[in-house]
Amino acid sequence: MGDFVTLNTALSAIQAGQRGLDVTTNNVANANTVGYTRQRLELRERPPYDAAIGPLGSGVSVEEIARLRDGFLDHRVRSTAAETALATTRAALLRQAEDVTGEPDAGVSMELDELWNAFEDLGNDPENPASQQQVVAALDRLTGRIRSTQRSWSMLAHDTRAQRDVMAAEVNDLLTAVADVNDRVAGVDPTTVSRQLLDERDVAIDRLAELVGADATLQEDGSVTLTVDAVDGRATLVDHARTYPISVDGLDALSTTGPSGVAVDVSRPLGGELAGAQAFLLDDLPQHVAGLDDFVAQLSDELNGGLAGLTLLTGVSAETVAPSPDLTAAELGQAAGPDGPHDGSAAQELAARRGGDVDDAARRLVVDLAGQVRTLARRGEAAGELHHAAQQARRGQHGVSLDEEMVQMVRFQRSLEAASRVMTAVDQALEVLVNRTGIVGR
Amino acid sequence: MRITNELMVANSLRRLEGRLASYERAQSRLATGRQRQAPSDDPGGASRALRLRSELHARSQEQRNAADAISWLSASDSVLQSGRERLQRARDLTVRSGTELAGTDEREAIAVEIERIRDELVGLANTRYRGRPLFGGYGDGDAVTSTEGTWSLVDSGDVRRRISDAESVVVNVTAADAFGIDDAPGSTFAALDALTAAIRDGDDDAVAAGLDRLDASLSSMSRAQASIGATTNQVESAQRRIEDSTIALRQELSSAEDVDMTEAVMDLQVAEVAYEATLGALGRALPPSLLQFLR
Repeated sequence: MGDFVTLNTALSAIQAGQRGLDVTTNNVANANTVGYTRQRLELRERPPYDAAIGPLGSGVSVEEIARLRDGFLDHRVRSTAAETALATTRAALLRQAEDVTGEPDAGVSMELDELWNAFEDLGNDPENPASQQQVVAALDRLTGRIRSTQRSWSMLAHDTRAQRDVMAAEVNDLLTAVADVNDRVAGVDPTTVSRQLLDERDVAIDRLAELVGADATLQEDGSVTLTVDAVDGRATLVDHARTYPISVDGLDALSTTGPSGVAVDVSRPLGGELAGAQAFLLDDLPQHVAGLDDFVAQLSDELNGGLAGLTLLTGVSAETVAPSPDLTAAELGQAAGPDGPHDGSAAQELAARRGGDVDDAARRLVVDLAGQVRTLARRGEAAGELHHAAQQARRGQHGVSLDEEMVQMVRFQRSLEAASRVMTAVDQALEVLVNRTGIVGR
Repeated sequence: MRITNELMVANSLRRLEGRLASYERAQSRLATGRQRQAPSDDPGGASRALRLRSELHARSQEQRNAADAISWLSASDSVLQSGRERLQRARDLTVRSGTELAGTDEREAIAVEIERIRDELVGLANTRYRGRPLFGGYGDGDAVTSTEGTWSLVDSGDVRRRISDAESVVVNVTAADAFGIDDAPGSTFAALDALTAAIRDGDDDAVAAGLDRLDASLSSMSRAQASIGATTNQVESAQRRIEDSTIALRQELSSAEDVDMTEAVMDLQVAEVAYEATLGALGRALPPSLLQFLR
């Protein structure tokens, strides 16, 4: 036994040193790889053997190549990513909706101001075809603006739906990727599982959190279960190797069939880009369209019948409102006042309604939308800060520090050198033993 | 917390993005001259700005109304002025027609001239202003018409012009107010008719009565002119107020919406310098590592 044991001990040291250098080299190579978790050699002393003088250590064994991942940090990064994505996606979409209104320079407010002035000019000179025509033109421009805003919002919803569908497809692809890795690692000895697979799975889960607020739970067998929380309940997306993809039903309904076979409505997830798009489509935009429709109703009430019962506007919604097709300039002139062709008192009275409820309603449309965009943008910024902090904490834990790797490299290199020296020393001692012992007189 | 290379790069990039965003905002403000690029940048300010714009629209309409009012008033005034001169002439003629002073032929000549003056006054009363009768209220027809010797004068139809939030003025005079006689039935024209008849008849008492009614007619016309004058003053002072208000509103709107150019230029410079400083810091983001010290 004796010296050969020492050789084995020295060999184990050399092997550990080589493994150490390998791990360090891999870390250095992957210092810039997205999603890479730094790896560290875990060494353990080999069990001692019974020597005459007592237990004698027999070297070092590589326990495993540890992957230094912190699940808590991951969870924080993912939950903050979901919140940030939700707020910023919603804010960006609403900002686009705001842009198409053209306020304050060229929007409904301005056209309304001009309409009041046109009515007043008509009141001043009812028989003048120019002032009659001016009212018709002003009604046309105002209703045109309302209709074009509604149409632009409609197109925005259409584009958002297309984007949303792409996101849903991406989610489903990623679910498959996660399930794939689950399949390959489930039940396998954790020390032998490919670290690269695990890293890739975590990158996919990060993106899923950003997209749909997915929550990951590590199971004992090494697989990850993914769930998503929505307003209407929680749904399982991945369970071991099975995926439960999200399907888009009808216009804006999202659902997934869970493990129990029952469909779960996930139309309103609680976080993620998809959630932002859905909130915009299901809640925000309809609210503003309804506001615009209400404004049309109020405007029609105010204007129709204000001039000798003349119907000035037809159409009950923002989509259909228009100047009455039978309205003629001459009719306007006549309706401007009851007591004669040059009486403009009714038109003047109508114009005096400026600065009242209709103006307030128009202003509220602008301010409500603006306020909502601002609140969401602020929320997105705040959440973004938290997300960045969580990411930095994670980078600090999982990332590769080149300096640290250099130190490790030196360590293992020196220990490798030392172990080689030991081996040489033992070899030399053995050489004497083997080749020189027992030579007497030769 | 461990500091890793990825972390340092991520931090530097984030700061760079932040600086670039500030720079972009400063540039936007300078390029557009607006504090806000959209109402959502400052909803409260946007609401205020919308109100101010509405107010400016109202003021500009009031200016148009006031200018129109002045035009109406001065048109009526100049016609009434001519009317008074003609009536005064008729009065002078009447005084000369007393039977002691004038013979039948002379009285006939005076009557004829007074009839002509009456016709001139009818013409004045039916002056058209922008295609409508100046003294005709809301109607389209002549302000003064005669049917078989009976005179009808339009007596209703206020033409109003709004000159402020709370004020609207009447800018026209009806034929009845201008050419009627306040406290007696009939009108200037009827009075002139009666006068010519009296002069032809040589009825001195009737002529004297006619003269009184002529005087009443003249004072009616004066009253109408005085009222026009008062309204003109009201409108002119409203015009001054409207102008002052417009200037104040524009200033307020500008301070709510526009950037201070000097400030904007300075902000841009500062943002630029900050950005360059961050770029420089990024250049040193990865400090010398151990690699340089190991052989």
